[in-house]
Amino acid sequence: MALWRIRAYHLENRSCPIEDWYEAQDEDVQAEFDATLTTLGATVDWTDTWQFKVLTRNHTGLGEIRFKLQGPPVRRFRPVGIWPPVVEREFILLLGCEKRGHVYVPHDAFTLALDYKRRLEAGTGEVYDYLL
Amino acid sequence: MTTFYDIWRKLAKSKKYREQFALSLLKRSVPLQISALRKRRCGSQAVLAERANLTQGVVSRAEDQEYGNLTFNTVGRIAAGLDMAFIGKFVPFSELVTYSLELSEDEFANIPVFEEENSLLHQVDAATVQTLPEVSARRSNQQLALDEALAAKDEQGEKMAAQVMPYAAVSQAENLAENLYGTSHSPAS
Repeated sequence: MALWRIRAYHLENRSCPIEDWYEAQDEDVQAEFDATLTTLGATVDWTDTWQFKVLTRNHTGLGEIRFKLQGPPVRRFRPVGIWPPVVEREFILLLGCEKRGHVYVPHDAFTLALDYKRRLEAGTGEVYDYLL
Repeated sequence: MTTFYDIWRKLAKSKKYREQFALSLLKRSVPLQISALRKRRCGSQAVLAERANLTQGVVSRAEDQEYGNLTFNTVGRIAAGLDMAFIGKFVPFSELVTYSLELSEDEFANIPVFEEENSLLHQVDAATVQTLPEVSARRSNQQLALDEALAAKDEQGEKMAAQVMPYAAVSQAENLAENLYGTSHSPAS
């Protein structure tokens, strides 16, 4: 039984940034993301694994999931969510993101993620279970 | 919560997806198990490395979910260092889905090492011999103890079996019997 509940932020217009990002990816990226979420969901301490990184400084309040797709070229992905969790062992995904070199796609991913977080805290939008 | 059918729908969508999902889960779940077991049984990677006759670097790489090139030899030596076994087997995708839904670090951490199982087997032996004196001379004492424990569970019901030994011990005995006889309920006579 998974130790974590994975959830997703939906905007007030009902669109879901993480689901939109997921649907736009190739199937092998989707599968890699699903497997990463599966193993993270089975992991007690996310901060003790490479697959998750707590963001700091300008991006405090967020955490990024990290996974690679072997190439060539190797592709690196960094879906972003709220950290620390609002509810214990519940991770809310905000949006998806790819890291190319030092550049993130979308380039304003973390600013956007912080904006979604603020909106959620202000009571705008909804959170639903993210189904693998 | 994600259900069996949520995952199954994705697997059914394309062969490419299910190939990648199965591969990714394999390369991630084995390091997850090694990491969980190492923390519970050894503490540091250095301790497990010493017990497994490997370097700390190899153990570190074995716990890396992105690595994906673990060899049977390394996994086998880590299993030996933990004093437990590792089996890889081919399964239908339905089993993969169930496995992914039930995956939990806590579950791996509770896998007993050989000495714990061996001790449990002797407890089962002693408890069964005391309460079930009809012993056949055709088998070794240990095998007979297992047979009788299972017979007690099957024929006299859960209540009787619970008096003989804790349920957990019955389950363990079933597992051991399954390995010995190839069945969990009907040992060969």
